[in-house]
Order: sequence, then C-alpha cells, then structure tokens
Amino acid sequence: MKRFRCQELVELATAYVDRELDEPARLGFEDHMAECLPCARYVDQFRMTVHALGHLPFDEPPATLSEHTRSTLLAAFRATRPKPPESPDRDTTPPERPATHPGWQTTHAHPPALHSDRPAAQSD
Amino acid sequence: MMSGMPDREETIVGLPTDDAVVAALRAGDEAMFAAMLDTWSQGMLRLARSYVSTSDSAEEVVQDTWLAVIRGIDAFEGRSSLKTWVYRILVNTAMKRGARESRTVPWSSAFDGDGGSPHDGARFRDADAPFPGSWKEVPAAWPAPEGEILASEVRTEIAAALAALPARQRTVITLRDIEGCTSEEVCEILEISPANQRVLLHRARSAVRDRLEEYFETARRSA
Repeated sequence: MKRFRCQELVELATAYVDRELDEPARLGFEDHMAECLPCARYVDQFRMTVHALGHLPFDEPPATLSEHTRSTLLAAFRATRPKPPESPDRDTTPPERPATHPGWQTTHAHPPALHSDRPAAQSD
Repeated sequence: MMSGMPDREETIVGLPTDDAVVAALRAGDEAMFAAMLDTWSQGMLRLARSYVSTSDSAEEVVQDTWLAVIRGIDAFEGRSSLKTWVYRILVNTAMKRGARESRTVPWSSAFDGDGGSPHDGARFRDADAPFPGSWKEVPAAWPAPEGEILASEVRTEIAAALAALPARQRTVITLRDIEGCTSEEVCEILEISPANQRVLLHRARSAVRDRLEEYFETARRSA
C-alpha cells in the first residue's frame, strides 16, 4: 500500500474518482482519506463537481440544429449521395430506419480501436 | 465503441451499428442521415460552443462538419468508431473557426499555456515545515450537496469556470464530464496521450471545484 501526503493525494483526485489508480495506490488513497478530514472533504467536493458537470441542464446552445440548417444538410446529402437505382438482384427488403423504430437501441460493432481514421476535414 | 459515449439522447433514439450506418449513408439513405443528424447534433453543438463565441458560429461549425462527413464517408475505414471520427472532424473544424475568432490559441501551442498544477503548493505546508505537504487550512464544508449544487447560481458559476478554462482543458472536460466520452475516445478525438488527457482533465476539474469553493465561501460570508 502506498502512502501519500495531502498534496500528492489531491493531485490524484481525478485518477481516483475515475477508478484509474492501481490497487496499492487506491488502498493508500482510501487509507489516507479515512484519517484525514481535509482530504476526504476535498475528494468529496471534487466528486460533487464532476457529478454536477454531468447533470448540467442546457439552455444554450439550442437543443438541436435549426430547421434551416437541417434542411440544408439533407439537401446536401441528396445532392452528394444520390440513391442508386434499384437493380433486380438487389436485396429489396426495406432497411430498418430509426424514424420508424423509436425503441431501437444502439449496438456496437467495433471494439475500442487502437488507431483512428484520418478525418476528411483535416486535409484542408 | 460508442457504448463508452452514453449520450443522453441515445437512450431515446439509437442508431444501428456503425457498419449499418456507414453502408446506409454510402447508399444514399437519407432517413439514416436524418437520424444521425437528430441524434448527434445536440452534443456536437455543445462541444462546438466551447470553441466559438456565438451559438450561430457553433451551428455553422456543426453544419460544416456534417458537410465534411457527407463528402468523406467513403474514406471512413472503421478503425475508430464512427462517432469518434465525426467528432475529430468537428474538433478540427471548431478549432480553425475558434482560432479565427481569436477565442482560442492553436492547439499545438496551447499545452505550455495551460497553467501549472492547480494546487501548486499554496494550500499546503512547505517541505521544511512540520507535516510537509499537508493542508494549511481545512477546506470549508459546502452546503447541502446534491440539491444546492445544481441550483441555478451554481450552474452559472460552473459555466463561467468552463468558459475561463484554456481551450484544451475546456475541450477535455466537455467531452469527458459533459458528453460522457471515455478517456480512450477523448485521446483519439484530440490525438493526445492518456497522460496528457488525465492532466488536462484534472486541471480543468480542479479549476471548476475551486470556482465553486470561492462561490460558496463568498455566499457563506455574506449570509
């Protein structure tokens, strides 16, 4: 088990609340907090801060895109990606669409990736 | 991959797998594109807003991002999740815009300007004092935790604290604590190391906590 000074402990508050400390460090962290009111209070306040950030209501920006922007983008999509004509050997089963399946839950095809794609906008 | 990005809206309307979405977009499925727009734009607007000075600018950033997605979807290779890929385009677009508006400094040169450790000593006893590294003063207790901290004045303080952060800290804390991204996702979106990510996040959270501490202290004195 590691032993920390208060100043060191405070610097590890993010790693602690995000559960990123290894076992000896976590035990040392909790052992210190059990005996140190200032640190326990600090970490508690730190946690409350993170909690508050995750529960902020948003008045601004607006809930979603303006109707104008939305229709501009849909038009751009149509112009750039015209639907190919149906061919006889194409699977004619209509694809499921979120608009008609409100309960559709996200599924996850990809494991966490180690490498990233280059974003298209990065080249300009 | 997107399981680590628990969007609030995703619990209401979800999208199918990345593979299915990408295939649909490439095939010109407008309904799928509309579903993506409606599911992701809110979070994208929030993040864009942390780079630019007005809501209108943020909307333009998001619009430009979606246009780049329309043009670039054929180049998406699936090595990151689709959302990470879209968010990287968003961040790059927003940074360019923000730099033009002079609200932010260029990303690459911003790290040195992110300030020192948030608690670089002032609150703790010196090395040659008794109990070095321990608190000089006990942090004051905060009022009734859960209810009070979400009061509108407190939210205003939090918003002000976020606005005052250096750009990189603001981006990391927005992605992690407001958007709910995982640290891996943030590292991919911003192309930074896990250690950098943690440092930026910790400084940002510490700054927000300190702002709340000041606010509660002022409120206590004037009570």
